[in-house]
Amino acid sequence: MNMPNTHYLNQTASAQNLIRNADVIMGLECRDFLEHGQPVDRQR
Amino acid sequence: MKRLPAAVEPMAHQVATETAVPKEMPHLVGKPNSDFMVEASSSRSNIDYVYSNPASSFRGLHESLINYGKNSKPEFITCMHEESSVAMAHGYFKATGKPQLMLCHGTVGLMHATMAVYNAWADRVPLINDRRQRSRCRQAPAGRADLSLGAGHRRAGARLHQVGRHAGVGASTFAQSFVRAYRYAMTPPYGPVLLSLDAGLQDAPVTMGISISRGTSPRRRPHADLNALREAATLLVAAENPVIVVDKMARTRGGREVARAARRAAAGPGRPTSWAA
Repeated sequence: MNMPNTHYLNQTASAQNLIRNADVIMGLECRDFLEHGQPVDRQR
Repeated sequence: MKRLPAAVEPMAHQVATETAVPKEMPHLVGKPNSDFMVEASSSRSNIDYVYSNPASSFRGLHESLINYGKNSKPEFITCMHEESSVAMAHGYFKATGKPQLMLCHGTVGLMHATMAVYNAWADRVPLINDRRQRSRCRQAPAGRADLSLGAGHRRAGARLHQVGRHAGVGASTFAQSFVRAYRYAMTPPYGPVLLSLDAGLQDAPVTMGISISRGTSPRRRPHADLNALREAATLLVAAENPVIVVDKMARTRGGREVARAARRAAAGPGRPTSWAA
């Protein structure tokens, strides 16, 4: 996605938490919808 | 016991190819087909630049781009490697939204470009990749165009990442092939397209009057079912904690506007909407 990661609407870092508490999730052209809910292991 | 040599001795004709003085090429009488190819490419598309690591296999087209096309729209950009030429076309589309053209040799050049073509495919960036192929004029009847979407020989590695391959045989079908490739590339979801050029065809003289119709009709974008859209909008507006996951949707300026509009529709007083990318 062509979006600055400093934009206030870019919540990629907290996506897992947001999705956990969401009652409606709308995906726009997602390659893999489930990957957005997976935790990211930054140690790898 | 006679030992086999580690390296095979070059054959006589290979030695002659490397050492002999090349013969002067015959001068063409009339206009070459490559002039027509330049005219067909420039009049039916919005291509600003041609990126290429020059090769003898498309020398006719290169010459026509400079002499016939006056090196403007498309302008020839000399690159030091095929991978960088594809990457430049990739970046130009990301900045301007215009698909670009790259020329490369059929085997080595295309293999060099493979990784960058994969990047363009993964990023859904349209580009038209012109590669030279061995002349098929003697094998195929004049005017025949061959379209193949398969993979199965040495160029399969690159072709797997491409939308299609269109080999135009005969000058009269080149314009048709080019328009078809351009439409493939520019139909969402976008992607790189491989267009095969007949090597012998470029240098051959134009033998018939060929007219070119201007412009191409744009393809309609794929559209979701209206009832499904209404249902999704109703759910989104009624939700308390909606999340919009934006992936490839926002790859263009128009896509970002759609995503913002969806967020505005979902956000209400005291009800922030988040999105994740």
